[in-house]
Amino acid sequence: MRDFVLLYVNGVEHQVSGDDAFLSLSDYLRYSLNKCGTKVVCAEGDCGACTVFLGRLNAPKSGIEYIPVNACIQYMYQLDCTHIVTVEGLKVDGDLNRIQQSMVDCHGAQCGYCTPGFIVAMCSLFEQCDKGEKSCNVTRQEVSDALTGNLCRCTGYEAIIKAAMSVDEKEYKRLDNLYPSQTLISAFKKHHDEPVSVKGEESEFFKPTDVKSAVEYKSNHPGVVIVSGGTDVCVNLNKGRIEPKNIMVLTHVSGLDELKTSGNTVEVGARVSLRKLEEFFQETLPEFHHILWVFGSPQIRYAGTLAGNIANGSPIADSLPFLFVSGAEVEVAGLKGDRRIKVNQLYSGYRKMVLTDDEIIVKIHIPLPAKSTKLKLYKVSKREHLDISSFTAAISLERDGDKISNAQVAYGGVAAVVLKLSKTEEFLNGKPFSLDTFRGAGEVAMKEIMPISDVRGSKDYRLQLAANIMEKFYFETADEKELVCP
Amino acid sequence: MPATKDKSNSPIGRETKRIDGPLKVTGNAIYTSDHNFPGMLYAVPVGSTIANGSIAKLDTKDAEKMPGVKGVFHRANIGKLFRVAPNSDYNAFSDEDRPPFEDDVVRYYGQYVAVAVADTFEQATAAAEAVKVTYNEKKPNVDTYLTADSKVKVDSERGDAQKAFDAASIKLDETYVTPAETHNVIELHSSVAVYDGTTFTLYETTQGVMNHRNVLCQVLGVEPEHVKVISKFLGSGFGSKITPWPQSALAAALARKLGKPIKIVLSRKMAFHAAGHRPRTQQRVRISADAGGKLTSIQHDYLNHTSILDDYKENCGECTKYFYSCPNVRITTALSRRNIGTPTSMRGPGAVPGLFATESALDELAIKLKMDPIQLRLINEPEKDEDLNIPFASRNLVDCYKTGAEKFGWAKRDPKIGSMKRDGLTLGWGMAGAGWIAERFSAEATVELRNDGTAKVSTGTQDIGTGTYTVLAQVLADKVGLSLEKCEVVLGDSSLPPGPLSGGSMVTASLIPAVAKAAQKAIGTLLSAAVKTPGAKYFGVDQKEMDYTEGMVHKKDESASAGIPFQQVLDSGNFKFILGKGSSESTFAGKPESSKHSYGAHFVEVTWQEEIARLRVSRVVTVIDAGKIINPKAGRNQIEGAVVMGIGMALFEHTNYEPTKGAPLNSNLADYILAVNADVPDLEVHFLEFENKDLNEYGARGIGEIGLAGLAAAIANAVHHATGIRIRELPIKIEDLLV
Ligand SMILES: Cc1cc2nc3c(=O)[nH]c(=O)nc-3n(C[C@H](O)[C@H](O)[C@H](O)COP(=O)(O)OP(=O)(O)OC[C@H]3O[C@@H](n4cnc5c(N)ncnc54)[C@H](O)[C@@H]3O)c2cc1C
Ligand code: FES
Ligand code: FES
Repeated sequence: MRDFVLLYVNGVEHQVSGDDAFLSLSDYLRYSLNKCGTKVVCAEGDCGACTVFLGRLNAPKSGIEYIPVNACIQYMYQLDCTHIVTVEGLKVDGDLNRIQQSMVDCHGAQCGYCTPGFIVAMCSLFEQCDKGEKSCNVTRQEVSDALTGNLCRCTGYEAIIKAAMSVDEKEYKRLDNLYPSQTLISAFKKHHDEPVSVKGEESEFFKPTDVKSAVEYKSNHPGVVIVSGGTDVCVNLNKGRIEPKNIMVLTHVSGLDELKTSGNTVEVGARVSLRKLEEFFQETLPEFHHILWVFGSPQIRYAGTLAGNIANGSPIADSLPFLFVSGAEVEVAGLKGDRRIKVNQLYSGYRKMVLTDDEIIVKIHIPLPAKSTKLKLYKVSKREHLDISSFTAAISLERDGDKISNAQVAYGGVAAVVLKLSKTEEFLNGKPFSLDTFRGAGEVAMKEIMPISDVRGSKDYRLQLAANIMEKFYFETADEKELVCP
Repeated sequence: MPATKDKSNSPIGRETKRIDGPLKVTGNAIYTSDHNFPGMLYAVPVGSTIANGSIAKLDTKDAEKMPGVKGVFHRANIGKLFRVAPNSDYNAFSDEDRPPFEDDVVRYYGQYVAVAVADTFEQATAAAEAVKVTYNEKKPNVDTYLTADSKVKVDSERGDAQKAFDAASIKLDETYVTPAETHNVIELHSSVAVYDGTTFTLYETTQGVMNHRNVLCQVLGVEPEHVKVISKFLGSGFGSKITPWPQSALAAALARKLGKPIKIVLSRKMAFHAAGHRPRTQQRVRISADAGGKLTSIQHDYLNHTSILDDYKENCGECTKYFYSCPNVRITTALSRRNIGTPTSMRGPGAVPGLFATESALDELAIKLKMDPIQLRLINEPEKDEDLNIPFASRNLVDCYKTGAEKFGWAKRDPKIGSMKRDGLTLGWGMAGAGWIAERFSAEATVELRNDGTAKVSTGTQDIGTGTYTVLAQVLADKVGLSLEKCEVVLGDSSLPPGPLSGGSMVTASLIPAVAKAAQKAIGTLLSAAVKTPGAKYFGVDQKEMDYTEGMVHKKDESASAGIPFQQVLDSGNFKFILGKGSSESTFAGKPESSKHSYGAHFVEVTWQEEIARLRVSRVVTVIDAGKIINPKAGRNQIEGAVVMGIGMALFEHTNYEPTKGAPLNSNLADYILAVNADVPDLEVHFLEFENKDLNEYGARGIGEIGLAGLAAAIANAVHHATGIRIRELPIKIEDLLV
């Protein structure tokens, strides 16, 4: 068993052991390596100032794939066999790279404190594009999307967006050209499949490489905290809400990163990132794609996973309403083997799942809705992007001529768990598809939920949304000739 | 001796890239928390978990035994810290006057009660969490409804406003509220203190290195020459770094106590407690008009909350005094004390919340009068400053309204509520005016001409991100006629000649005369050296016949190119550099001859979708009248940034104090919502560059704050136009629109 984390920072190898392995990447960079270009502003993934590149072996293990992540919510134990590139590591032959130059030319930096994060996020846009195609014209929308995870208090963003827009993709020199990938690939290939365990003063972490040892470790260490993308766990660590003795990272467990369609069902491995999912569903199911597109920020989606969203079990987790109405199932592995649980039967209480102490989620099975199914997903938040929902909903149904059948309704943010509204469903089934029906359903839905008031919205507001969303569904799915204006 | 008069060549008014840009885009600009020193220790403050009461017991035993811990410090063992003597000058200006740990009374949530010091940041954090504090807790007062705790004071009065109001038939009496807002500067407040046995070197993130030194030397009880404050780069301030906060005194006191460099970096959460905020304001506005729309009275009675110990006044009536023509005006102010940390200036203090109230009220009045809101403003445009009874230096607000209306397409506005649609969305169009003071602080600067052919300007101010390094390089380049690359700017050090605070958008205006004089002095000395150095080309020539043009020393009656480069004069005299000092006075003293302000107008379009409760600011046209814009690139950037901040102010920003504990509930960037790039509207900024040199020779006034003034009112006015709902309390909550 290896007892250190192996990583590269701007091309230089580091072996991290002891307490350093339990630092956040941003603290490691700033305090242990004295690389202070990476800034810490919120320490919980909300601002992007700490954005760095995380490079790791791509799926065929033939190259290094670089993604932007928030260094404040990546802990060192997640980073075995990775190459971290910080803002200090982006110069080309000692000169500003094309993006850095453009940010100077367009006045994209005022006070400059958010700038390192913006530079990396912007470079990542160019790093991602192309992918073999001839060229990649960066649109304003793409720039804006790539930068939703970065806050700036000075510039009003306009100058930053212009800076990205004025770069010709061909002039951007990719990281593979700055840091020859061959050394990295061979080092990572060699060490990738080694389990790692590091003990610190107060905690221990384990990086298994197969499901069996992961399950065994979990059953032997009650209270172990599983870390997948870490976008929930690391925020809790930073806030001091949890102080785990044992940590298990799933980054290298084989078989968990598969994403495929089998018949009418999509199978999502527990390590598949939300970003991959977003790409996948773009054509397969645009309605779900949209929810993934407004999920957190690119940095969060590159790191975070669907399994993490499910296991975290927040009543406002954005993926859940859809998984509830589509009949999705999680596949869990335990000492006694695998079993499947319907997502809408997974929760026994606020952030509580019905899993046993040894079980981990390995896969999610999502049946695709039929062509005839009318499905709508909603996320209501103050800001459209990078915001936690105050209310979420999924409504799906079939129409038999004039009649509604197979209605499925799930609301989030209206109780301690996401709710499947069976009374509302019952009310809808068999009723005519009309505005009156949906108004009536809104009334029923209001009685079926128990929202509370919090910083994201009052109880009354949520009740009102619960009713309004039904009407909205009607207007969005009705045929033109049926539309009666209220 | 003007250096160059060839305007096409002048760097003033030219689009200029930031000279510090390359450092910032590579992560090589060093900010406070990036400073590391051998042996440095980390300190983490322990914040109180009550907002009102006192400390009964402080148990530090467990914390002290933790790994790496060097000690836990509090009132009994930190050493004496003093207050700043009352001072009406801006020489030593502090908002929170009580030094940390002065007594055992807790007056706001998060007030520091102890501080843990350890080898690493993690260890110090763990130790701070392990300090056990017991309190005698009392119910805090964080009520949002404000009532006057002190005597109501009259800010300004003319005529008899009440009488006119009573007599009027068209009138309005409404109360407008702006919430507590936290600056949430991207760079967190932090301090790194080094003490060498006599002198403190404090690496601070401050909008006033001089002020910070003047305050800290008093707090530490040492002579000013024993405190040096350094702030080379800062991650902006927006007012939250104008005066020092308690962590600075703690870092310095610990450095003295322990003989080791100390670093304190606040968490985002702590920055909501003890690093200032814009206080809540509650403003009753009574206005009346005659049937033709001419204002007959304005009464603006405002309150703001302040902390238990400090009297922070949010000067909401600042613009009301001079903005409109009106014979009867009365403005009053009072404070309302709360168990909340001390408030401070936040971008556009006073005017920004004040204009939300008055410019909303004007919109309401226009509706009562069935009059276009621009028309109402034109009718009430004053010819002079009616408060001070002096002429305006340069007021082109009418041009702002007209230009804005034209660029925005205001003529197409249908005043009927909710009547304008586009792509299924309801549109709302609103507008408002803006004003901000234009004054100067006193300032000193030195200019050096150096034997390598370069020049340098030094002054004890700082670049908070607005572009002071670049603007001063432009001014210097203009004054000594050299290219920008040859001009060095040194700022951010309290041992330099005293420069201005970065507050009130006054740095540029304040420094122009000082730098001009310093350059003139340096050039004078240069010419004198040229004629006094034996063997040099112009030795013995009467100095009056000499001239200096774009780096060349020559005789007046010959062309510049016939002369010699200035560095040759230095070489022949064997001088490394020639220095000139310049200073300029503040414009605050004495009665002014003219009333100096910047102006602006905002035109806003919102889109509203009721079913999914989505409100968006889709288009903003802003016209600014701030005189000469020295660097249009930086200028536009300032206004764009302010407009986007204003969208946040109107729609999201609000610090929410929980009533039982008194803690800010949303003390993080997930719950305190700032605008992101997706919130940026289609945004146009226009500058009207009317010439007026009352403030300085270029006619440059400040542009840092004006862009935020009035914007929230323009948005609220647009929201009313779309929805028919008048929002008088910010932020505009979707809940309030769903009725
Ligand atoms: C800035 C920011 C924005 C965000 N925005 C959104 C948003 O818009 N919508 C939203 O829904 N969420 C949002 N989140 C929350 C979070 O990103 C998601 O919940 C994400 O899906 C979590 O995935 P992860 O892989 O990072 O989980 P982790 O943090 O690694 O884990 C989350 C939880 O799941 C458990 N877990 C992980 N994998 C497994 C497994 N295989 N088996 C059993 N248990 C497991 C962990 O132990 C932990 O309890 C946001 C978070 C941040 C910091
Ligand atoms: S510091 Fe804000 S996202 Fe990391
Ligand atoms: S430039 Fe200051 S926060 Fe972006």
